[in-house]
Amino acid sequence: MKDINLKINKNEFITIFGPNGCGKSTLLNIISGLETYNGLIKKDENLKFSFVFQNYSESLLPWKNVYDNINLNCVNNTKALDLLKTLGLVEYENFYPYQLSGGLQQKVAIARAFLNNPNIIFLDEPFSSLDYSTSRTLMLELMNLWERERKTVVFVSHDIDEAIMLADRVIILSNKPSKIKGEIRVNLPRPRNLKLLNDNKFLRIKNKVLKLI
Amino acid sequence: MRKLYRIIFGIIILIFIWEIIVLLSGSIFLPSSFEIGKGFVKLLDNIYFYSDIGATLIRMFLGLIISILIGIPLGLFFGYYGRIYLLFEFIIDFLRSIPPPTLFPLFMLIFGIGNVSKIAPVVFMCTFFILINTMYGVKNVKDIRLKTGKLFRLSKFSLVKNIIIPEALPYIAAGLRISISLSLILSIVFEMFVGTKYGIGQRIINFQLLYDIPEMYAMIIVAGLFGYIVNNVFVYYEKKTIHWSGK
Repeated sequence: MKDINLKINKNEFITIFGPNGCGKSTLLNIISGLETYNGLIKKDENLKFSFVFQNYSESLLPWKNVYDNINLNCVNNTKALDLLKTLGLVEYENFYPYQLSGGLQQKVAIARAFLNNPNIIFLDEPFSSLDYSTSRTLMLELMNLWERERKTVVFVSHDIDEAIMLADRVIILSNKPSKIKGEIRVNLPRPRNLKLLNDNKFLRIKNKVLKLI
Repeated sequence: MRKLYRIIFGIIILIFIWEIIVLLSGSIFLPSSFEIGKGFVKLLDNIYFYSDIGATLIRMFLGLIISILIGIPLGLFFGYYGRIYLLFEFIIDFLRSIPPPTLFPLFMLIFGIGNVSKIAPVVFMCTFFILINTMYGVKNVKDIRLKTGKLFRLSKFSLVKNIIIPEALPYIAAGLRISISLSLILSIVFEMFVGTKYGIGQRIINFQLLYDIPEMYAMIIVAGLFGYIVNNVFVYYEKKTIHWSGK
C-alpha cells in the first residue's frame, strides 16, 4: 500500500469501496492504530476509535450478556438502554451472544461501537457475512442511528449499493497496487430509503463509481 | 434417566467380564463379584472406611488448591509474557516429564512422612498441568477481542479480568480436569509408598497384606467410584460456569 491520501472530515460518513484483497481492511487497521505503518497520519491526540469487525462472533464476548457486552467499560446506563431500544435489542438484553442470530449479534457490536463514545467509528464489511435481507435491514438501521448520532464513520464495503446508499463520500480503492482511484460525493438527500436503489440519481452515481474501478 | 440406564448397563457388562476372568483363572486371589459385594458391605461397617475416604479427599483437594493458587497466576503471567516463558520452558518441560512416584525418596527426605509428603507430589505435578493449560488459554485469546479491549481503553486489570481470563477459562478447566484425576492417583500412590494412618491407598495395602482379598478389591472399586464421582461433579459445574464453551 503506497501513496494513500485520505482526509476524513468530522461527522462525515465515508465508505471505502473496492474489490477483495485491495487493502481496505489494512487501511482501517492502520488509521485506527491497530496495525503499524510507515507514513504520516495527522490526527488529534487522544482520538478515540470504535471498530465493528466483520466477524461478530469473535468480536463479542460470549461470557457477557448483551447489556454487558455493549457497556464494556463506560457504565453509561441511560445511553446503553437508549441504544438497545433504538436497535430493538431491549428484549435480548440478558441473552448471551451465541443465543442470537448473526444479524442481532452484529447489531450488538454496532451498539457497542456507538456507546464507546468514539470520535471515529470504523466498520469493516460488517454485513458481508449476513444474508441479503438481513444486511439490508441492518444497513437501514445503521443509517438511522447515524442520522441521529452524527458520528464520523468510515465504512468499508465491497457491495456497491451499500457503499453509495450509506455514504456522504465514496472512496474507490483499486487492487494491486492499492491506491485511491477516486472519490465520489453522494449528494442524495437524507433520510434515505431502499426505494433510492432504483432512483435515477442513484444509478448515475453508481455508474460513475463503476467507471472508476 | 437415560444416563442411569446406561450406567446400569455398564455395570452389568463389567460384572460379566469379571466373572469370566474369575471362571477362567480359578485362582483363590480372584473372588467372585458376589464375594467382593460382601467385602464392600463389610467395608461400610468398618469405622476406618469413612476416615480413609475423608483423608484422601482432603489431601487431594489441598494439593489441588495449592496447585491452582500457583499454577493459574503463573500461567497467566507466562501466557502474557511468552518470552519470559521461553527462559523457563526447558526446566518446566523437564520437571513435568519426571514421573512423580520415582521421586518419593526425595519427597520423604524433604517433607518427612506426614501429610505434606503426600500433598507435595500432587502440587508438584498438577501445578505444571494447570500452568501450561492456563498459558495456552491466554495465548489463544482471539486477536479481535484484544483489539476490542485496546479500542475500549480497558485498563490492564480490566483486560485480564474481562477478556483474558474468561477466554482462557475453558483451557484452565481442561487442565483442572486432568489435575483432578492426577491428584487422586498421586495421593493414593504416595499413601501406599510413604504410609499413613488413614487413606484409600493405605487401606488397599493393608487389605493386601492381611489377605482380605474381597475387601481389597472392594476398596479398589471405591477408589474408582470416588474418582468417577469427583470428575462428574466437576464436569457438571464446568458446563454451568463456562456456558459459552464450544458455542
